[in-house]
Amino acid sequence: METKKTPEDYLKVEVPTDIPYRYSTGPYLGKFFIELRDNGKIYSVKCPSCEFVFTPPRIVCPRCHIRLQQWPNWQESGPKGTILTFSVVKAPFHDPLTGRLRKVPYAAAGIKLDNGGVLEHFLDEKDEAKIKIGMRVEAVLKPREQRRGNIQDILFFRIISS
Amino acid sequence: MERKVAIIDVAQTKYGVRPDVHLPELAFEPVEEILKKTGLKFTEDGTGIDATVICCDDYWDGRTISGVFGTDVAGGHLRHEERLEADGTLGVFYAMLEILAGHSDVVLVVSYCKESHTEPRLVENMCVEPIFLRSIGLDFLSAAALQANAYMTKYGITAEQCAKVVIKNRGNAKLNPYAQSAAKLTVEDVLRSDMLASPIRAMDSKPVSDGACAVILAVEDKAIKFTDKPVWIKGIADCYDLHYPGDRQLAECQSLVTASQKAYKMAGITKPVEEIDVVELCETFSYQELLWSEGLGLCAPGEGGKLIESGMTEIGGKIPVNPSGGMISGNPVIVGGMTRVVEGVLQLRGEAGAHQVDGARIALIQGSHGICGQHQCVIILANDQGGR
Amino acid sequence: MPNRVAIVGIGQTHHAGHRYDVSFEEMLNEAVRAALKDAQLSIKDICATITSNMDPFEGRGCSDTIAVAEIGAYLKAGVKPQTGGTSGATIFSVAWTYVASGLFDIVLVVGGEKQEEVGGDSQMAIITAVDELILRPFYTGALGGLAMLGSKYIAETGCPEEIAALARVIMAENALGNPYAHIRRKITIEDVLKSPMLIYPVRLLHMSPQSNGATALVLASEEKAKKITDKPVWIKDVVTVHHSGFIRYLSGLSPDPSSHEVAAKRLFQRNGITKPMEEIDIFEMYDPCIWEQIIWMEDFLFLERGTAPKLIERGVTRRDGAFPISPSGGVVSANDIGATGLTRFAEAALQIRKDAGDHQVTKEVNLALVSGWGAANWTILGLLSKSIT
Repeated sequence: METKKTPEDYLKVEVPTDIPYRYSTGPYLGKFFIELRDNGKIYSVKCPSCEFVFTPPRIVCPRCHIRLQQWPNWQESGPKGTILTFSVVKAPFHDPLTGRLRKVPYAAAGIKLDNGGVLEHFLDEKDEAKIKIGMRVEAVLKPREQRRGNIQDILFFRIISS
Repeated sequence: MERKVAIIDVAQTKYGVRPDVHLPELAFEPVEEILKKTGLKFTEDGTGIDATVICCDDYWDGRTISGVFGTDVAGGHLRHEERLEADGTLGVFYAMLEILAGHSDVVLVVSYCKESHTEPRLVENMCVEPIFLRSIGLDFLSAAALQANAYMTKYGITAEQCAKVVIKNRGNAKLNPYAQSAAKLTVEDVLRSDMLASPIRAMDSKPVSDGACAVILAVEDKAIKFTDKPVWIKGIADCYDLHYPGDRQLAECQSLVTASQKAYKMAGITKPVEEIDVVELCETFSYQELLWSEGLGLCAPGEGGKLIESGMTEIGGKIPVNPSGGMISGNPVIVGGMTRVVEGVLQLRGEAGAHQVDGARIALIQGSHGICGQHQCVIILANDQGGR
Repeated sequence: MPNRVAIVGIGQTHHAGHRYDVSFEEMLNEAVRAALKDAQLSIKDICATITSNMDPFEGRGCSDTIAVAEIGAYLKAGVKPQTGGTSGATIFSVAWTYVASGLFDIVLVVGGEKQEEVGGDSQMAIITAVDELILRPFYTGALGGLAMLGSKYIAETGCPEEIAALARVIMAENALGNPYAHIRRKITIEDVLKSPMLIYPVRLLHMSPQSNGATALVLASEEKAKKITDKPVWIKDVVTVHHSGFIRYLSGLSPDPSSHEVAAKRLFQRNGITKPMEEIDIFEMYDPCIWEQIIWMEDFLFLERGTAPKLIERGVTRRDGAFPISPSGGVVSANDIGATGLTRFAEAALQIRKDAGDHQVTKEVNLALVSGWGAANWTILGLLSKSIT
């Protein structure tokens, strides 16, 4: 009778893969991050044709196929906003930025910024019973000297009312 | 072919290292330009562009499903879009099949790649078989070096002959405003450059490059409506070779021979050197221009060295090859084959400016993907004078 | 007159929890051999191969060039489309176009995934699909977006968890009749309700598993198909609709109709279908999570928001129901991503051919609807039919 094989019975080859990428941010995201880092401001751009608001600003409106305006034709957004949707993550998965398991639970939300578009980010609250769609939130930024010009310059969004 | 298909316009970025743009912004540049030039819009009612085909690669782009970058800028939102992980020539092929099948009449094809934001050799290493080949560090350079050595040894091709490819093409690049790296070089310049992997030297190898290009294909009745200089796709074929270098006859290029024979048959070409006016092929390394020329039937096997020395492949020669400067003057992978298509179209429309081959009516295009040109694609283009 | 194309050969490997016994390429070869055997053809009869997988899972770039010998691509034409989860369905659509063009008369299409090859968890591989500059820190692979869609649906309709549990139980019953499915065990409503919560409202049993396997089909032109088999399954039509990554439908954040709704509208309009649930017999749906089966039933079949739960409750989607959904057990029973979309077409074809064995639906199947899904909510929607017209 053939004994059931376990994974260890099979010869495997491990190939660690480490490919570095240095992503350019370009004139849209680059400027968005600079304004976030230097001035603590969040900017969006509105499509002149369909009026969809993009946060952060991007080069083209996917619906109208027209180039969107560059800085300074942007609108300052937030720091307050409204929760459109959210999810509380309970199962620990790997954080792609560190390769280590994430600390759980944590909540991610889609937030409609005042005078802006929708930004996805963390919430400070981790209990889904205490989070409701429609709640008002406010961006909490890292202190100026810790900001680097990336999306983590915003620490999270704090719930400020129900 | 019942339905005839033409390329109605083209656009390309100037190739070079582009730290100033995010990848989708690079992809948008030729899209924006071609939409402006043609006045066409993305439509559902058959009056404009019906579908988009994107050629890009996840590992080069540093993002899984990296076609998502293209979707936003190339009219993919809520529309028919296809994404291929292959050289741009395959994108043109697929767009043509879409039209022949009657699924679309007008198709935009976009190809983009930003080699500079990663380490190309590491990415290439990902593209070889992981259990046997990856751990010996095989990448496109070292594989090409194996092929170059096999080829040059078998047929007595010299380093000087390979250098002449570099001199011709980098010199031609001076005449091409889109080329990345033009230079007036001597054989000594090339032979003195650092050895990367014998016999391939630094100057035998294309530089790291970023860029994007776009073409629009249309079925005959729309093509002649949208442009008065349609460029017809007369023949097109692709072919895969085996993967392991040891399984292949490295001194030959069997898949290119098969693809070109199929394409020639489709186009009704029996004497390539006589009937073709201009050739654009993808030489990531200098020896490849010689080897691919043989595979394309521009000369007999082993005669690639004699071909470059004959002067026939210069602009003004009997069969100009890479008047644009070719890939060795700087194009990214994935994009390179489509750049050749763009250049072929410019030639046949008389729009190639200083590197124009006078009276070009039929162009031969070659693109490839994978190590040592494992997957080859050949396209034959003709303007109205060349025969619709 | 469009060139008609039929499915003439169907092959699958078992979609398994582990396939340590084969390399990825060998696994693809198994599916290829099975499809050729079913079609009673040899690899020599094939003139092009279309293949795909989702690169980071196997850690192979240009995987079509690596697997060239095993998929029989040597000296043939072909290409590797790649559209994330949609890939399996995309390659079906691409292969259909290859044959419909008239330039290729018999084409092999093979998709597979060996998710175990990625070290760490496979969500890590999926998360590299998420925008690296703006979104990646917040996402947990595909789950985040799917979960947010689910929580939005619950907020809008009040759909109770029990409906999702019931739909999951129906899929499990179907999978028990499908020898190729990955998850084949009896699952009760209570099992589902008790299974650990991953990301609200998605529990472990709501999600598709990480499978290893491959599926292959042989497609042929009308002329060839009629000679190859007396049970060709005709490809009536396929539409592809992609979706922006900037406008985030996944996460419930898009003001636009979903690509599913757009695809359904296009496909049904082109084919004169006005009452999909009456005119179509079955639906092999790509629903990566059981919540999406509920939501997308409404999107694809023009149902009013919130009405799918009642249909599921009434047993309409069961194998013996009026409109069976995923009689194969669906994506929650097997998800080897590069194969999954193609498996939906394979399974629908088996139903039309009456070759689905223990998971054959009770009713006659003349017209089958098939969907593929992936990426930023990209949709493939196809119609397979028993008759050529």
